[in-house]
Amino acid sequence: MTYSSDWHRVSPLAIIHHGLTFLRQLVGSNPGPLLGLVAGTVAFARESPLMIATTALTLVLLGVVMAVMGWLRFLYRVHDGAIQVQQGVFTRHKLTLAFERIQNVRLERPVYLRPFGLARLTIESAGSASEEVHLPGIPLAEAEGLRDRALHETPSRQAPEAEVPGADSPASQELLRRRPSDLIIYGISSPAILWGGAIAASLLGALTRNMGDARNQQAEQAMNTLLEAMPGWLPDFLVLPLAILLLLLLMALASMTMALLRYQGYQLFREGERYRVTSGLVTRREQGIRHQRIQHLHMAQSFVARLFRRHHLSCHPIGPSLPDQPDGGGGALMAPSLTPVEQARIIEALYPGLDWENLRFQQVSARFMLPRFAFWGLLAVITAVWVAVSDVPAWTLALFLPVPPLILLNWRRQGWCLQGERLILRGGLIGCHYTLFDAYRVQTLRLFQNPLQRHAGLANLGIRLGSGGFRIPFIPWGTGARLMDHLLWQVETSRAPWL
Amino acid sequence: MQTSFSNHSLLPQQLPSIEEAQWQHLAPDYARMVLLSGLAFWLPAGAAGLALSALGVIPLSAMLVAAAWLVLLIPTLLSYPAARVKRYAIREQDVLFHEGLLWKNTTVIPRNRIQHIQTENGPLERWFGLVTLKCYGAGGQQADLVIPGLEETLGQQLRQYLLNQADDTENPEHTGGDDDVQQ
Repeated sequence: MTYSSDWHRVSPLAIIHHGLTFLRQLVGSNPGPLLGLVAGTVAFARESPLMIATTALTLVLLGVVMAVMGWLRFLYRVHDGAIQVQQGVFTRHKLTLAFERIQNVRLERPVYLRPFGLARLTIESAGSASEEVHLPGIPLAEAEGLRDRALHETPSRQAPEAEVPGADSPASQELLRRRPSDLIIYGISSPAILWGGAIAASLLGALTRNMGDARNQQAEQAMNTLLEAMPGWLPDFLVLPLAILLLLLLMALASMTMALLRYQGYQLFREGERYRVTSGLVTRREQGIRHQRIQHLHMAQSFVARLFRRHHLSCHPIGPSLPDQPDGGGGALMAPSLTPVEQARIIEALYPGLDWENLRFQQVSARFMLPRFAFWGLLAVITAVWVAVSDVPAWTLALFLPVPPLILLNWRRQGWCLQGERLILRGGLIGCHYTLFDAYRVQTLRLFQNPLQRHAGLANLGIRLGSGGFRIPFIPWGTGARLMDHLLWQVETSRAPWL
Repeated sequence: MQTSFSNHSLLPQQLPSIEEAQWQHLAPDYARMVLLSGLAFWLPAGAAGLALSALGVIPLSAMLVAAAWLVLLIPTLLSYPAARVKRYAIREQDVLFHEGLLWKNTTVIPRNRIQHIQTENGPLERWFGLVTLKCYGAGGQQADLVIPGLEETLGQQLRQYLLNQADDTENPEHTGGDDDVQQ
């Protein structure tokens, strides 16, 4: 497969992609300035509509010209075992990404490219985000060819332990398929909804606080109108909880829709040494990763997911660990809402021979709870003083009641288990989450202790992999030191490819 | 300290232990440099604060300003002993760094995980003839291990020594190292 080509342009439809990306960046990262700009424009437009119109027209024209120029100057080619990209209107950037350094490949087919048989290819390397290659709008066949090549190319100095990736077209084996019901569970239990709920609750809290304020008549009026609109049988004190519940339901609905859009038709395949995921309702997305590139496995479980006995699994390649994002979190391969059976099957595929059901976790010291008790205790004392001196209702103190059991639960969840060459970390609050990796993936180790921990002979062990950092808190110092020695020994004697 | 941790099956006793590493202290000038750079800021700042309060520009009593200044000076004064306890160890297979007066911290980076190495020296470090050595692993933005206060020749020697290993064929998957050597 020696495929090489001259400098190419991507399809002009890529301009849409650039425009959409720009819009998303404009709105997504920080809507504040944009809103300010719009408000300013509206205020100004009342004064002189003509000037605004000309300015807007100029800006739009400028944007279009820039987009077209950007498209004209975006060139790519495959040359000498690498993808080369030239881009930039004023400053030319040239990027060469060797196939053997590619970590992760994503092939997407958004609605506006699908009718034309085009696709968008994203290629990530082990380096920073600036070493990412986006090819928006190239023919599907070519995108697939590049993807296959990127996923099959092995480093020239391959270690003997690495299994040789099979022939050009290894047999495809389906590991997992998601039904809409699974995705709905994922939608309800994904962390995004918790944030939404918290925001909604705080907004409502602010609203009710304003109501008590005599100066703020408007909020009171709005609330009164709301109360009048309510059916008469509804007691007043139920209005607030019901409103929160309603908002939560709306959030859940939105989250479920997102999950369905993103993961509809989810299928996970294993093809020799690589994994491939296809999913998406509107934008068909295909993501591939080679087995060897997976640094760690994470299994998350929120408290809602615990009710359904599900875990959300993600395989992380090298790169800065990003928080859960709607589009799969910076290169991680997702497997949403797994039942225990499915989870065991996938773990067996990824880490053969790991006896997942019978792992014995080591507890961390109960002193783990001390700083948490100290923090919440202090907060409770401050609240108590506040209640005593001002007219804050006394029931606010009751909010602290669930804290001690939660701290206890959080401590009980902490644990670690060294099984052969694999380290499994456990954590969580109500749900239980796990992190699993091979010891030889470790990059940096850190043993640290604060004065109180030193007094008690305890320490924390920080472990950094290429895909993120983890911590085993409050273990005996001697255990930490020996675990560190052991992991170092594993790393330093291993000859397995780890990048 | 007896633990519930079973040692025999998992961790053979003959493993080299970080507790037996041969620690090297940083250059004696380093602690002086840290103290000096702290004082170079705080002494003029304190004098300026006192002067402003004496002239009545800021509505605070001179005693209060002096007290605040003394409190703020504590971290600077502590930086001297803190710099003295910092130490490093270069072993066959890894590099260790230890720091912390009260909050103790030991960091290790295996040598076959070092992706690139950098030496840096600012104006003050150049004045004292010191360099800072930074070791970077893969996938992170920051240096994984930083050893400050090395004598310049020693720092360059260490960098060269560690680079030689990083470029060794020992590390089969070491890719993209070509442009890492030039600093």
